[in-house]
Amino acid sequence: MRVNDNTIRADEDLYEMQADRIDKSLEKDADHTDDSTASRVSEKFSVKDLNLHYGTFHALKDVSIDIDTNAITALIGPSGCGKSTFLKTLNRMNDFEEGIKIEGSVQLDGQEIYDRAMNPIELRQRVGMVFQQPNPFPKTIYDNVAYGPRIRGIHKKSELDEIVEKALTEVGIWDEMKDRLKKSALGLSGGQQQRLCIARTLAVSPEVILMDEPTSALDPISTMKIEDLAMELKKKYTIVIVTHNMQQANRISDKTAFFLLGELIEYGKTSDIFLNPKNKKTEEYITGRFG
Amino acid sequence: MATRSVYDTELKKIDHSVYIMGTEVENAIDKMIFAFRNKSDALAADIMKNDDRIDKMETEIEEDCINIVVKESPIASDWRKIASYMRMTSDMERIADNCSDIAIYIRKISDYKEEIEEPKGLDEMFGIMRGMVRDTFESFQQGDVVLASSVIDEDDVVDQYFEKMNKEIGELMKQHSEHIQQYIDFILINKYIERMADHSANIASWVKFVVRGELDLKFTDRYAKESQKK
Repeated sequence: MRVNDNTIRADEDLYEMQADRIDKSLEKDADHTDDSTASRVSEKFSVKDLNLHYGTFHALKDVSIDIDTNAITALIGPSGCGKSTFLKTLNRMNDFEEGIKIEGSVQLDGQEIYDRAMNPIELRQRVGMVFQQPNPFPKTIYDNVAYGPRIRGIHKKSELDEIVEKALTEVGIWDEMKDRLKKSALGLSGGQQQRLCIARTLAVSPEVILMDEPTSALDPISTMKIEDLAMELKKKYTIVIVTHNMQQANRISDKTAFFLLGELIEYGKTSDIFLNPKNKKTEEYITGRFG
Repeated sequence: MATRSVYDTELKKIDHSVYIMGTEVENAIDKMIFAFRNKSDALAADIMKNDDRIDKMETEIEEDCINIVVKESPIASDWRKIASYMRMTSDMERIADNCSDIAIYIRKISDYKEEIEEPKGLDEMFGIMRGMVRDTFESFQQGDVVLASSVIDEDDVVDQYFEKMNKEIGELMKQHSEHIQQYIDFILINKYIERMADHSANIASWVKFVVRGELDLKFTDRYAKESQKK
């Protein structure tokens, strides 16, 4: 069968149009790539030569690291490597430890957090923390979330109501909690309690959320919900998370820092660390060969 | 203290299976080249018969890789290895298929009623491709990225040979138009050798990925480059 010349020409036109469209979309992709390289991520924390001693024990050794804004940074390493100690230095939760000595520089948005000028209470409002075991106060769900704002002097009911609803909505449990706000927080499931604790942190409008193994006491479904929540929250907050779960670090974090015996061994993009770590110790740890 | 000994044993088992599959593929190529040089119908038939074994090896390695991914969630160099093995074994299986493809034409050639003037460069091209495959498996066993890179570069030499051979066979067709049908068989053999070299270079690029974690992009843009030529 002979094909009509006009049909062939029409086909050729169509293919040309498609090729044009592909070329344009490739150009657009290239433009996007240029944009992303051009806009550099700013640092929320800049840590330089941080050393921490508990008495004679040298727990952190010359740690220098920049933590990106609106990103999730995972801290990994075997037990006792200093990752939780490091996390606590970011909002001075170590201040009350006996015999502690901290040297070096930890800056939050360029401001030295160990300076006398820095008010630790204000710092902890800006840098909130979520712990391994969900630790709601033995109070109602409402009072747990309203606790921080009340301490900060907010007592007007309508204002508190708004804060509570906003915080519980942000952590995705408003719909299930709105009819039981006056019930005890201790009656919630582990996963719900942990999300309530995150809501309690959000209620004081922090800039950074530190999470110390926030899912290690939770079942897989609750874990996934917290992970999804962290991914959502990073749009507004900077998150630093300590985790023993390699898959979790790989799934949710943008950057990963590997600590060993108080030293920061390797720090970089999570995709690089988990595909092609530069240091042999990192490789051995993340593949489960030691630790 | 060493941990994950069961996992390490499973990984080593897959390493070993890939190594054995490589040896089988090399055997198939050697047999095929020998069968071509001697126009051995029996040996060519044997290559085709053995192809099932190599297919089965690929399937088994693939299953082992899937199992280890599901059970152990390998990461870092372990993941690079498993991901690469799944791609490499597919290229290895294609090389074996190409041996069988050529074996089909060796059997046809061995049936020719009268002898024809054979294209001269084909034997040399077989030799270069064979060397590439040998170096590829050597680079895999030794984790030698320099050797793997040289294999990738050598593919260009085979591509040039391919063009040269097409011209040579074209000339022979003009000179011996009564044997055009037979020369078509040689053109196809020429194409299969060129494909085997491509697969070999693919494997070499995966070797580089396993060792260095860097993807060699040479192969992803080869058709784009080809499209620029007129």
